[in-house]
Amino acid sequence: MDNQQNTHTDLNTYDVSITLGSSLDDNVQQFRTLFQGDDTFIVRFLSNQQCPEARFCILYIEGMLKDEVINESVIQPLIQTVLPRKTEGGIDHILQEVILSNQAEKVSDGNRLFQGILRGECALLMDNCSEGLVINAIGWQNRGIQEPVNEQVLRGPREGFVESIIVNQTMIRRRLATPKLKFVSRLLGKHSKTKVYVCYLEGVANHQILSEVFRRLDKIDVDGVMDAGNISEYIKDAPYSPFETTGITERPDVAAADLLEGRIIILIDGTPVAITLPFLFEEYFQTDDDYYINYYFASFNRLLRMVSFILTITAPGVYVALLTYHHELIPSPLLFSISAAREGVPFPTVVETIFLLFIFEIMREVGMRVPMTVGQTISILGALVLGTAAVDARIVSAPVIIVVAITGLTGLITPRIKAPVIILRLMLVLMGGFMGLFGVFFGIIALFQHLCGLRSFGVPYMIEFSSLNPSDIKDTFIRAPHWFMKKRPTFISGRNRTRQGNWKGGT
Amino acid sequence: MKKVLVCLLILGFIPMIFSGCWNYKEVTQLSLLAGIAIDYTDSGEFLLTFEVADLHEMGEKSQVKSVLVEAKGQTLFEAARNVISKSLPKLYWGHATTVIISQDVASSGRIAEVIDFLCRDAEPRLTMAFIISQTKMAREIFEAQAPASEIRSTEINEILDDAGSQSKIVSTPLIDFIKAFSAKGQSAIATALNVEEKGGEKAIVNSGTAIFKKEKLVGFINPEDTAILNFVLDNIKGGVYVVKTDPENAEKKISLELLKSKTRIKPSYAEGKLSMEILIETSVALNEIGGSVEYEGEEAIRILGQKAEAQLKSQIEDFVRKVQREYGADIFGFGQTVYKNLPQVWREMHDEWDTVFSELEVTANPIIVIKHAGLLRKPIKPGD
Amino acid sequence: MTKEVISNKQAIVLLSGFIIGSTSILGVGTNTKQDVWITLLLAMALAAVIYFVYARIIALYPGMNIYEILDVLFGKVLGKIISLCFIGYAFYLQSLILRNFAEFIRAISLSETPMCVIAFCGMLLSFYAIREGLEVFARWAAMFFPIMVFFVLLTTSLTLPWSDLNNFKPILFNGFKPVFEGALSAFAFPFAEAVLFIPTMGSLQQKGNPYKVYYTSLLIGGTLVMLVSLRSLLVLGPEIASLQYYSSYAAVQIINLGNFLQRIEVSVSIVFLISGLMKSSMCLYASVKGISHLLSYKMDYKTLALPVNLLCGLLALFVYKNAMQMFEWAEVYYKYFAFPFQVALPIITLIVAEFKVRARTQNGNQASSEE
Repeated sequence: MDNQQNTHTDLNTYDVSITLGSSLDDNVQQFRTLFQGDDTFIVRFLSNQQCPEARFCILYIEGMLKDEVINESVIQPLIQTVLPRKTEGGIDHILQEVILSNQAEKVSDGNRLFQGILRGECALLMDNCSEGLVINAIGWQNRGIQEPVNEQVLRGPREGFVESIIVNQTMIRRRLATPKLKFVSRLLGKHSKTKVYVCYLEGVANHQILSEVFRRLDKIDVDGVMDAGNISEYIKDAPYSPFETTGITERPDVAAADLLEGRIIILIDGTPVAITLPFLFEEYFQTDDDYYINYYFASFNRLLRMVSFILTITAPGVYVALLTYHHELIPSPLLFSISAAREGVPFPTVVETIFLLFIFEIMREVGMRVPMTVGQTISILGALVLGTAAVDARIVSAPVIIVVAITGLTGLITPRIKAPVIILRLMLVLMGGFMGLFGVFFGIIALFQHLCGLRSFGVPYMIEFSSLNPSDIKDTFIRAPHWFMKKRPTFISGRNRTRQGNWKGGT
Repeated sequence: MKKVLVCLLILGFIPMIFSGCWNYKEVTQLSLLAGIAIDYTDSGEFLLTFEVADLHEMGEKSQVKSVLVEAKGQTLFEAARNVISKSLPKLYWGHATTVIISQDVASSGRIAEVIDFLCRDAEPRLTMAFIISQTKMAREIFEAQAPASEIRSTEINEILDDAGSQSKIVSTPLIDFIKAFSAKGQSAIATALNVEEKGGEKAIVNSGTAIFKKEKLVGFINPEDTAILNFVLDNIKGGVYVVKTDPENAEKKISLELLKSKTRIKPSYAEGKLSMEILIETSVALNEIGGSVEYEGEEAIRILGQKAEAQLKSQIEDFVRKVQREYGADIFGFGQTVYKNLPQVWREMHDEWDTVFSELEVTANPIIVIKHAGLLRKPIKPGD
Repeated sequence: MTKEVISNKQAIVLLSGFIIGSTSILGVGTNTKQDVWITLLLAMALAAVIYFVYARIIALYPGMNIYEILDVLFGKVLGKIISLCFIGYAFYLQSLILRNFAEFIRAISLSETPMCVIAFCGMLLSFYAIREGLEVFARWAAMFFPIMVFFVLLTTSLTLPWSDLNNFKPILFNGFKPVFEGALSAFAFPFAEAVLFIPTMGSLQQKGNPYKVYYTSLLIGGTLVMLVSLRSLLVLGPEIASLQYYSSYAAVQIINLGNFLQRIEVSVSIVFLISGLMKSSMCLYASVKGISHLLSYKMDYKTLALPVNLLCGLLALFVYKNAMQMFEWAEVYYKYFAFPFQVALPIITLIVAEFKVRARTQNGNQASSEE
């Protein structure tokens, strides 16, 4: 109930003052003034056929209503219903006996009416009445439910969140039909008034984390919220760390599964991306279909992703270190051929490597921004010009291209960890050029010290990896069969740990 | 305040990073050393010949060529550094695989100097092949033709790698040489190589083993004896052992393929007299029958085995006696065995070990087990 | 600030890493050649005795820091003086480790890099570790300890083909005396250095068991130290193993499996970086925690990490003139230098503590009986 009130106070603080009087024309004029210069604001006067002195006015913004609902459930009854001579009972009578809508509400507060109009509701005013109705007939066009592009699965549910928070909410609710599932709403953004739902499973979610989430959300003071990214940057634990401490998902099934683990989901109106909290390091390597496909395959894939992560940050650094400091560690035949390949290349290995990494990142970004039709050209440019011509012209050496290609490829396996990877890679190349492999090790040690020091809403970021309990690897390096995961992760839920009954593998 | 601090920190780092990278060396700034030969000049200085991988010519071709570079100096290190003046980038030892030492250097007693030089520096690896050349100058080995690879050091290492299928060669990496060199009651041995001229082409050939006593080279033994030495040293990993089945008929020979061999040296001390027993257990396969050796059935095989055992026994005992008499160098590590198994005896004898060794009574007791005889039931004979 | 808490297992990992420390490259007891295993076993037996003293001190005052305990036992003045001794020892030991670290890296690879740069890098890491706090460092250690153990086991098993069991013989050829002297050295370095782990044990969780921590770590750490030393002995033989400064590095150089798995001696450096960092960070923790107690420092002890660490780095640069001096000091003199800190002071502390605790419980009993 508290939350409901909060919503109202939020509304009241908005600096608009409309006081409804008894004159319909005055009231409408107040709205007109506020919407001055906005041609999408529609004012429609009506009067009843039988009783012409009963005058009404509907106010709304063009295109945000479902026209047929308004026409059939509001306008038609208002015009055609036989109203009592005197409009006794006034607006209550209209609300109870005339309007054919399940979402209509009597409001005496002009601001509430105003906000309603802004959000696409329809305001109904009546002559000689200082109260109005807010009728919800929101009906703008939504994107249909589609499979999310960024989180595709081999197997598993295909629907993804859409931009409408109502639809998103229902998608989660459909999966968890329990009264324990709570959605607590907040309005964020001074101007955008974006609706945000904090969603959790009562009795499973950790209360400390929950109150921390509310504390941080309430501290946010911005003019507008467009996407999950805006919010997660405000509620992040380590604002300067390149690593994310809040997760995102576009899939209702993932959100529901996270809720069951005791995590908290934040839904934001206007974006198909939901925030999941707390977010731990291993989640970078978990994908949705890990949990739907065979666990051997899923475990293998997961190990592959972790190895790729290590490779993608270290490969160029190690290459530079080996080639410029630790020649003894390269097998002789390989060293001879690398050395021959580098013959005549004018740049030092470090510069060459950084240069090519940079080119690779440019190509990646171009590939993302450029229209699909030009994509072919890019790959020809990359493969022919850079790959072959540059080597033939002795601008870069062939081994560097191989290393950068491996780096790029392995980096693409875990796309979510992109930002830290680019920074780390560069750092390790510099360290490798500065102190050889020792520099690279120093870098890696420092990286993991940093990671171990991170927390996501009070939960240590690396808690699963640094656990000394061997059974804790069951959802990190590998994905153990579901029947192994009897308990929820302690660090997240705290209480109510048991997930399932005793069930052994096999029958 | 904080901004100033950060600026200072960055300013502090910039000179460090830009003047840094102290050990940064591009591969192309290094001469990749493949092998080194150590000789004396006429004036008694060290003459080092470096075989350096020449990658400038390589380009598309996969064959790596090598060039030879010479340098002189009073000490090895000085000589090694003198190379720099010859417009060659710094020598890089990390990939050197071969050290060849001339007879002169080895027999002059300065071998310890060479080992010290190679071990003290961090770059040379302890797994380098340690070789004594039987040619006059060690560098002649590098001047020979290398049929398989353009780099002679690689070629030499391939020869030594084949030691597994050939019992007539002894492979002594630097570490093994140092181990034997520094161990109590053991004299060091090293691979010996020679160059032979065949049809105008010089080729590297295995010429057996070089024998050291203390820090001096005292002689060489031929490849046939090296095979026997390998039996004693438990170095047999494969190879062929030829048995003459009939002392009168030299044609009657059989070849045994050595599958597995295990040697134990058992010292025994009784009544002030030390004696050694060499116990060898060898599994072989019958691979070739020369002449018209008769064999059929288990009994015949057993007799063949006994003949082989007898031959090996006498060969080993003769060889040991020869070493005792001619060189007096305990290359078998008998002293080491005594030290390890009969420490009390060693304590008494280690001062006069040389004399003890030359009078040591050594018996060999080989057991040869013929495991199989290939695909043939009996020798193929001409029909009537 | 909430008190930092580490679990039993985390403490075991930290202490095992602490024990291995720089022994992963220096090798312990190589002077005693083929008897190194006896030397180490003897040293571990001695360590088992002194570990009882360390663990008992902690067990008598659970949840208290050693510096607080010293204050309680010896009063404000004397307690602070003894604390100062411990702090000085921790500070000194950390600089020794930094120096080992720098010497090793310079010897094997970065010969032209100034020592201060390498020492500075090592310093930076242990500073970062302590600035993030003990809990974070314990988590880090829990991640890297298995990696370290993996590399030790891997390199050891890969050297097996080159290992010769005959290198164990003859046993006790030079009599028992050198072995015993070697054992004293090995006791002083690395085993009894675990006295500096006592401050860390002050953060052990309530239901933690200090005896279990100390003895399990002795077993794990001791086994790994033993493996490293035996590897050098069996692969290189007693003569060369005692000849080489960094014998375990030389031993791993020999590995060559099918011309493919070779040149992996860098794994020795990895092990050393991890264990060395654990040890130097624990020393830093001991000294920083002590200094903050000594000065009744109001702020978080973590803020002291930087200045103390910088001083430590300076000391590391000046503590020895050269590598020869470093090794001679470690092998010959260190055991005498460390004796008061490792043995004498803890035993005195324990005796006083036993009396105090007895007196306290007796008083308590009297009080309760009087009621």
